Amino acid sequence: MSDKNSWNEICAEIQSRSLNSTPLQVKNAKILRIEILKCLTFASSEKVLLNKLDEIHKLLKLRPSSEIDKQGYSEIMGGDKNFKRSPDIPHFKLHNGCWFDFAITINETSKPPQIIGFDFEIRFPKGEKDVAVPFLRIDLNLPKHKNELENMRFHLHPSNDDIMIHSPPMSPLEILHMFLYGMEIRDKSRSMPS
Amino acid sequence: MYKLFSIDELLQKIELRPSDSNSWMVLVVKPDDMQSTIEDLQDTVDIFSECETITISGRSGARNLVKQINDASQEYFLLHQLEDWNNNEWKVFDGFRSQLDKNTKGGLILLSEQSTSLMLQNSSNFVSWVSSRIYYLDKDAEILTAEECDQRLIALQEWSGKTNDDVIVLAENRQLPTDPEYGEWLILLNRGDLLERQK
Repeated sequence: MSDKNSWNEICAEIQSRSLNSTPLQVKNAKILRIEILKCLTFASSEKVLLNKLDEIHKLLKLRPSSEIDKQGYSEIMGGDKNFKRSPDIPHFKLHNGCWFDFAITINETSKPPQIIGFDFEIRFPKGEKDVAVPFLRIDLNLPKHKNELENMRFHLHPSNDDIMIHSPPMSPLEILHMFLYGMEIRDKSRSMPS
Repeated sequence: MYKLFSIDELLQKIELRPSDSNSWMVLVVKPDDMQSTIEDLQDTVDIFSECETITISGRSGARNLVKQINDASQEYFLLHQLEDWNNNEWKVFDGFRSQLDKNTKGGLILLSEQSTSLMLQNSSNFVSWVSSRIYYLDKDAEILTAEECDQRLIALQEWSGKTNDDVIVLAENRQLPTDPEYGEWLILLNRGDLLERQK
């Protein structure tokens, strides 16, 4: 374990371990969307999520996949695509100032149907000295994506699009719960050295 | 009777019903939407009711329907196919109203507009009990462009003589008239949350 080849082997092992441990099977895309709707509805009723109920319905769309142009592939969109992290694009808003969106691709031709890709990105409130919006993105790239060759298909980006770290084996619903309940933003002064 | 524009809205109401109450709802559906609505709900309602759900047909009459509810081990009920019920059948159903109170989670009844009319005329106890939880599903009304929304808001203002702000103040003070148009108005203003306060 001392050179790049070794690192590639390590990546392959981590990738395999992570993907094998992640629950990606679903009953179908419609039911997955409904499970997400339930989760978001409850969070809204608890004021964890600031979006109103009708807004959640409008943000959460199920449609044929825009990535794979074949019958039986669908995607759940939670908010619109937002590559530039513009707050003007519809998204989910949390009580602590964070905001997020996501997209999930489901292959319903496989038995059982399976999640084959997703991206979840949460953005944190921008501090006075921050140049860019701090964020965390968790990606499961579609099969045959170039990152699969590097054994980095399932990874996260810690506030930097160029840095990829293997993702823990979290399903989309688990990531959503983490965004809603596991990312308490504390006053920065509490964590800064005095 | 409040309008709902999607099954999502109904499911959200089921999820947010008081957890300790036996909450029944009625969903009025257009004939063309009946089959797809029941199929959608069969797949999804138990996720929101958070308990085992059974679908029961009303084709064998009110007495038999209530017996099936009482005998079932499931806690939430999806009732449909009540379209053949006449005045008398709805009166029989009304006589069993108190028995619906015995389960813990409640249920949902799917009806056509015609059956709803018969229910309103013949099941006064049941109607009084569900009162604000009778909803009309109008899936077609949801797909409005921004321009269509504005046109509809202007039409509602002309119809009522009220402004958008008047309607929001009325809703905030729980003084909104019960006409379904006011529910639609709040939705168009993106203030569907205020509908919950009207109960």
